[in-house]
Amino acid sequence: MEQEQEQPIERMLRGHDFTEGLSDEHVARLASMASLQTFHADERVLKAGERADRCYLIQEGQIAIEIYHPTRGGVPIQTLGEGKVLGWSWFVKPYRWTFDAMTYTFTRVIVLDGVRLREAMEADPEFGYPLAMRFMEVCAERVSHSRLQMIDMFDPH
Amino acid sequence: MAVAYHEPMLPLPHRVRRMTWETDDTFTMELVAAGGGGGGITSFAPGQFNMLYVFGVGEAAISMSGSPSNPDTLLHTTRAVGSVTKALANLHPGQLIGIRGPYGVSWPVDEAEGRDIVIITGGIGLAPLRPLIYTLIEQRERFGNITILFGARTPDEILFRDEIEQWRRRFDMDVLITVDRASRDWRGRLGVVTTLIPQSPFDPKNSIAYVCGPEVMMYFTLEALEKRGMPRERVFVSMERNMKCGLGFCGHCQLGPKFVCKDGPVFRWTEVASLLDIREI
Repeated sequence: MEQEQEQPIERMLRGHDFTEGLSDEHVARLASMASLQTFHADERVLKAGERADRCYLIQEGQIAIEIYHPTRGGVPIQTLGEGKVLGWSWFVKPYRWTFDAMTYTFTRVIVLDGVRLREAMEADPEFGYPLAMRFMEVCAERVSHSRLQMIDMFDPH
Repeated sequence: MAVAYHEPMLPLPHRVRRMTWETDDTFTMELVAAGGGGGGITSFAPGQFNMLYVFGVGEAAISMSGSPSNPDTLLHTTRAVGSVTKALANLHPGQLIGIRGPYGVSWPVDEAEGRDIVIITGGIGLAPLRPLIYTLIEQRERFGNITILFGARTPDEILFRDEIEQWRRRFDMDVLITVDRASRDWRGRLGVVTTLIPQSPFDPKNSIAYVCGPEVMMYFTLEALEKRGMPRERVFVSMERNMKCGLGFCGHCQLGPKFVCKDGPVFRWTEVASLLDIREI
């Protein structure tokens, strides 16, 4: 894992699908809570049960959300790539990750400080509400996709 | 007595030339007119189907999966799930079957001229779209970006795998694949095919979409396409119902006011969107 510094984070945030439609002021505010990070392939990004205090906006690469199975090990459920958001447990009590996440390829992300972001969203609804709606969309999309996977739609029987 | 080719209910004898297993339960039959002196199907359009008759067992409607430019060799890809398709799966090169066809409405190719094209499919749904893909490649200069989004249940169930790899290597089209479930050995995308739609390289304002797969997949695909800004009028789907006569006489494949065999199987989405809750007869 390598930390990158002094990158034009605000510009990168504006280029990410998650911030589409957000005001410049709100993007600048998000940038004040953001940092950049890269991962090599096969690096763990999140571990279930650990404190959830950040959120990742994926710029490049592929991250697999996994669930741990005692005999099968990490079972991948879904992969997320460019333009997607990884992690919303920082937003919901008890602020613990519910799944693992592993990189499949070299991955570049924007990291948002979940604790600061949550506090800012709670303190300022004009900033917080549009963001909460976006994170809600992320959750709804994940639930919808998981349901489609569950029904096993390509099974002929 | 000579038999007229256009006799619609009379199967024409065809011989199995080759059987290729694509996955554990899906196979492609290569068929040629028996006797070799003509009397077989001379042309078809992408998306059309034939009625394949296993003598003494029954008939099944199966789409052509080969190139319309080479109609002398008919390819049909299907999954061994019912009594007829299981009987087809047990055929060997040299054996005879009967064929009636080609039937049905084809994928509209001319309507795509000058537009981006997105093909969204899953599982066995790629088979009825392969003739269209061949046609688009042959006439590549007529179209904008071509994107193929393909979903499979598992990596082992990816249909036409070698050919998909060839399409992926082309510089003039994008091919994205995802699977619903996989172990860590699979390093591709994992998730339903609709997850590929938001970032695919097509301009929804000037695109046409061809969709084929289970109805539930097509329903959520349309939802994702609409979210992306694609008008319903430019989405085409291939429907599947229990077809018997292939001519719109028997009514087995009736879908509201439509007969899938005659009015379809390819429909503009606006024609069938409200009919998807109607169960098979």
